[in-house]
Amino acid sequence: MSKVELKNISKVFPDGVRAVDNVTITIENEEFVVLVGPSGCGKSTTLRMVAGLEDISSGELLIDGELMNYREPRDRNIAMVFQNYALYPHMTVYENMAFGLKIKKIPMEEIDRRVKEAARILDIEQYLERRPKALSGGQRQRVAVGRAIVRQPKVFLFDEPLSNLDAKLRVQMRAEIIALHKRLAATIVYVTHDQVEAMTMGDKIVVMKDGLVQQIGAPLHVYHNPANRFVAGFIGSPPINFIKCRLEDRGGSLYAGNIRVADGHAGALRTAVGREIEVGIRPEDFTIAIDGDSGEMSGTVAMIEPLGGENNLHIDADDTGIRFIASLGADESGFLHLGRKARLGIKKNHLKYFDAETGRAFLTE
Amino acid sequence: MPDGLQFRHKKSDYPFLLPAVIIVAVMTQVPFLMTLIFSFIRWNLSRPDMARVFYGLRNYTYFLRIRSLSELHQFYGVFFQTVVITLMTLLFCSILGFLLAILFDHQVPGVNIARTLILGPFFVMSTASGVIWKTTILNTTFGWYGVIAKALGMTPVDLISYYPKATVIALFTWQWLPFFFLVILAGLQGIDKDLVDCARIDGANWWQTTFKIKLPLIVNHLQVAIMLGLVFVIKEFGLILTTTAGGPGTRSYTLPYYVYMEIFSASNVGRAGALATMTVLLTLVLVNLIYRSIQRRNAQYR
Repeated sequence: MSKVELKNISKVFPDGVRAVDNVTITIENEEFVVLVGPSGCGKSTTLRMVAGLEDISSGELLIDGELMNYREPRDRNIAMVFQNYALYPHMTVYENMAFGLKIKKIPMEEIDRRVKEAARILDIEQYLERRPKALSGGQRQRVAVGRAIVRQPKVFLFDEPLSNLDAKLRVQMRAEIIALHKRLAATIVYVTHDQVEAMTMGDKIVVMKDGLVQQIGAPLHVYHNPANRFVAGFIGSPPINFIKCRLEDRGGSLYAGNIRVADGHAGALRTAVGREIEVGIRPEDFTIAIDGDSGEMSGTVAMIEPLGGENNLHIDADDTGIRFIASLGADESGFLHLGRKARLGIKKNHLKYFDAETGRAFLTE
Repeated sequence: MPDGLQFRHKKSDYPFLLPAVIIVAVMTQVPFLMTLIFSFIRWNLSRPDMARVFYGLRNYTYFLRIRSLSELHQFYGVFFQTVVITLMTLLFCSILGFLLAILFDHQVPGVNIARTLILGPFFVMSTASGVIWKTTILNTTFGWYGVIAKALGMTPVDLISYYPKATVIALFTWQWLPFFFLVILAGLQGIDKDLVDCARIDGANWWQTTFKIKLPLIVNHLQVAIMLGLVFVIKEFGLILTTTAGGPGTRSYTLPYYVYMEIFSASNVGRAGALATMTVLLTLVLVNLIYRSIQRRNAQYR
């Protein structure tokens, strides 16, 4: 059992910078929570406060109901994996993993058993006598994870552990960490700036910006129901398209610019009639307009990114001149060559609407 | 790269290098070569009647020959003293330098000013600091040491006369500590902060973090400091001249001071040359040992 609760936690640095502002997160037992946001959003500082490497300026940190604010890192029963692995270069892999246990004065046989077990899980048994210098990036990362495993902590903390790996290795390690989470039934707090990692790994993601929590929720829920314009723009690749327009009531039907608002959305939006709003359209929510249908949007294809299965089309809209990205199946969009006119439909039920001033989403569930 | 831009080395180019080669050779190698040549010549300035002749290794054997173990030439004593003074200085500099660097490896207000001030002894000429130590500080009558000791009701002992070696070691340490401090501090600041954080999470206390994590990580810096310090300390001369003047007797002689006495007191250029050559050899051997150990470590985990 290990449940981590952050209650109204803030971090103010001596120079007055408010790095983390009133953050409240509950991490359930065996949950994989990902803190995600652009650099400088306070996610790493939050993690370091959980680890005990940074003092908590205000608020409470509870692990299993116990107040941890003033405990030393070693007394919090946590393990942390750092971005640059932070392996002790003068120790062998074995010594690296055993160091923390030796300090805790755990019997040598027990240390040996745990290190060998972790090495077996991570497939690094043959490197135990090597020094970190003689290992590749992926192997070093495994050792860093192994060092965390042998501590048998209540909570695993990962601070951007995959950022230093190349793309292929990153995908592989991602899968391994997910598998490890299942296998160890561990509670994990994972920090990343990579929204793909957040989407694929987390049971729950916490989107942060400027020290503030923007939204907490399951990855797909956050993807489909972003709480504000920032979350919508940050989660999803290629990014969501925003179209700024005025919400108008034309004979009972709501129109956002030229786009007719879906009936299911109209109720929530009626209060905003006459105001400036922003419509968010995910690239995959475009469709090819079929013959005769004039479509909702039209424009000129300015750039094509063929990904094999699908094409990302960068299109300059005819009416507004805004460039937007549409992600369409390679077969159906194959005829749209560079410079051609494209007429596109929109899946209106999937549209997101944001207040142009505050950025807040109108549709919330 | 286009063909025209490549530098081709033709044989006819090399003469153009000669001026530079000659300048470098004269500037760097001639003094040592002259010393080497003198060491093989019988040349006593106080005996102009004796011709300067090739003397083989006799200048060396004069110092090195062992007639009987009970009556060793004083060279052996000086050699031993040099090694002791140098090694003790390096040892104290390493220990104190490390501790001092640990102390100053914190971001507190004014730390930069403090670090700069600590470098003070390093910038003072060794002869100047020697004079100050001898007269203003260690003098038993007028110096601070004497005044304070008397004020406390004790009789000050003349450290320079009674403990010349210890005094010289202390003064060398005082002078070279800033250098060690600087190099080790650079090493400490180069340590990845995550490693220290990681050690904290691993539960290491101050002692364990300092000696099991930080010390092994700056051993390279320490070795470089020791290697350079060795070269400087072993030939340190001014401080001895101005404080103990090698005395009492020859109890604080070091090889460079011995060389100086041999030429300016005994006026024997040949023997001085032989001594100087042996000093260089000693330095080279010691430096080599340290250098190899650095390379071995580098191969292991850098």
